[in-house]
Amino acid sequence: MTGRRDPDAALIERYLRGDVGAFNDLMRAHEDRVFAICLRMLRDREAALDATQETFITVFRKVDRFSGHSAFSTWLYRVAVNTCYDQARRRGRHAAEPLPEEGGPADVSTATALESVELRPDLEAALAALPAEFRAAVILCDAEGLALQTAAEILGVPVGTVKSRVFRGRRLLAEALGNLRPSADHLRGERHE
Amino acid sequence: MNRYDPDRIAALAAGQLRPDEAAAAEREIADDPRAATELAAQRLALEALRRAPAPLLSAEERTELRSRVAAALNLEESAVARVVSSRRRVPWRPIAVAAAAVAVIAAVVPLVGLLSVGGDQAAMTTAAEAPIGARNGVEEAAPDAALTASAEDYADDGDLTAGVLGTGSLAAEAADAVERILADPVELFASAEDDLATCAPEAAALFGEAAELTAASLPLPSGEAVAWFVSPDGAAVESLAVFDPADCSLLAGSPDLQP
Repeated sequence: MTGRRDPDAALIERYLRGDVGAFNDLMRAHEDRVFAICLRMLRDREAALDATQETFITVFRKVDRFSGHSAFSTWLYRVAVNTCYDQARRRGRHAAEPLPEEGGPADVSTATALESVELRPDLEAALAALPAEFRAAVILCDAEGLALQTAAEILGVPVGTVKSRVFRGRRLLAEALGNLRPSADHLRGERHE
Repeated sequence: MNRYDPDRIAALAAGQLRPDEAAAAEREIADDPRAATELAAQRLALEALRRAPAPLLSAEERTELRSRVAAALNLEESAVARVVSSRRRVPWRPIAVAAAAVAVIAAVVPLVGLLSVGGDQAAMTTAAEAPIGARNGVEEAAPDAALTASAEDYADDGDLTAGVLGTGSLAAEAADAVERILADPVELFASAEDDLATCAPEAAALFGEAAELTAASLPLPSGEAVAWFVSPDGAAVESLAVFDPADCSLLAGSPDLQP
């Protein structure tokens, strides 16, 4: 928590006073990033749109209870991540899928998902193969460029855990991208928690 | 100094070290093949992620998203009722223009013309918004209907309760689980189930009928329990109760919930 005023605070106040423009401004400010997080988490455009919609509905319904202890965006992205976890579970997707052997070709079954995602296919396949908690950390920190502390608040875990997840997530990504041998078992087992 | 320091390697790869720190780290890591390999892996993954274009909403998706969010909020929140009520505001400026035109072209009954245009506009506004409201009404009603049906199903099965689980150990495990959940609720949110109604009446009695409750199965070493929780912001757990699904006795909870 810094002493700086959350840039969204004024918009939230205006929204709570019934200012339609503030609603539109908040949507405009955050909809692309929420959608990007959801799409990278869920790998399916329709699912990501549903999750984005659900996230904003949840947040706007509860914005009067927003405490302001963290930034509005942090809270918003946290709801988005939780919504994605929930949606993935509801759709029966498995969080942890096997990584390709020694950087082999991506699973053919992911082809449909790949077409709808604006990422390199091999990167998308590698991201999809990450355990969900690693994927979330890597997406927030490396793809979205959020600070470790912010990612920790979004994920509801200590900063050390985020560091560990990002480190291990990147390692698995590199392996899956085919340029590296799988890491030793001790590396997979390292924890900062 | 330990050259294989994952945090330091990750920070170096991400460009988060000061220049002097980075230079020192580069030199040390270069002497350690394992650390050097790891640094290369970290940089490879980071580069791939950073070069990937950010997904964007199309204009159509953006419009549809805002429309649906606004429509959903209209049914629930007074603040958004104002959003929609403003959309329902009669567009007086076009009406005035139309009325003036009518007055110029046919100066006979300008007032009739004004009322006619205004009525059409109001009707169009209503017609345009009706499908959104109706559609949203269906979407909003569905979960409640499902919850009610499940709750009724549960009530019908009420005689099936039996003390199968060891309540003592289960209570201790539940208490541990509550502490873990409060520290990191992500898994609880991930396992939330919309259609889970087990012990719903007990949870409602505990938290109050007005509370917005969510349920999740909670696997414990001695068996599965049911967690009901309140999350005002959809991110943190404000209060939580864990029930034994066999008889819906309260095993543990927070804050200060007593079995």
